[in-house]
Amino acid sequence: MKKSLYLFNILIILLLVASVIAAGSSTGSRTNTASDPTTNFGTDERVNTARQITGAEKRAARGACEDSDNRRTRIKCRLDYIKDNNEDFEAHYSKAPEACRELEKDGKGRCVAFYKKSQACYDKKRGDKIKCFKRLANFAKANLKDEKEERGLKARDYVILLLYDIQEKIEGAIENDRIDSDAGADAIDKIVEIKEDILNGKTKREVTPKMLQLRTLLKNIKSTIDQESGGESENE
Amino acid sequence: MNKILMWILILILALGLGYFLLGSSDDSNYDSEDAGVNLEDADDSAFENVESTDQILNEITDSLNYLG
Repeated sequence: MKKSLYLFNILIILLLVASVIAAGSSTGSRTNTASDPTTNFGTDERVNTARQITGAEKRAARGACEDSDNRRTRIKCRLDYIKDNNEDFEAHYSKAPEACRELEKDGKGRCVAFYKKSQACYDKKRGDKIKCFKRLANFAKANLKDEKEERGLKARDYVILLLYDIQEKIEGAIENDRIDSDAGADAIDKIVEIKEDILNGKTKREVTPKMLQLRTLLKNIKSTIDQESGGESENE
Repeated sequence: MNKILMWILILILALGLGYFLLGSSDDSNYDSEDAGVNLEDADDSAFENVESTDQILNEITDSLNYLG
């Protein structure tokens, strides 16, 4: 009787220890799920498919986009990545944004730093985002026309930020499968070209024709979206 | 003759003084008017008219006028 009671106690202790270990390991795996791309928690089938690709494969896919010497090809590769993986393209830290790449050393450093600082603005809501852009471009006044000092430089920085904003919209539309990556690549390539001109100190006269080309590209994208959504036009 | 020279000198000084005073008063008027709302004083809603792609493109086109 005494021996069976002893065995019963041992059994209870083992059960308790096993349950504690099980609880511990269960918490650990939950912590890992956020970063584990193979874990499937989503209800959206598209997201589930994307998560089956490992982090290493994603890094390799992102790295492969740098292989081409052609800018439009690199841009299209990134847009295809966004479309296929349904997530933002996070470039390698050593890679400067396209518009900064051809600048000389000092200009490139300023360009990259400005781009990094601007990232905080893109998380903000509309009115706050524009105010954030103007703050970043060193505006003292709410409107560019009221600026007295370095208005030209402020205008250049502000235009760069607005162009990035359009680029973000295009990437968002790609991610949501609303436009194809070819049309997106054409528009973003033009945006990068205009940004390069602005950064290289080109005049309004030189930039305006490219702005008109960009307007046409964006108009075509919007028409395609409208046609595919059955004419339900919305002004995005 | 000396008196005439003295009056010419006084006139030149008076004109110079007047120009200096009027010029500086113009500047101070301009500064005190200080056109436009300060960025930090402006409400966020004042910037909400730059939302759609068309509005952003128009804002870019307007800003290009100030490239210098």
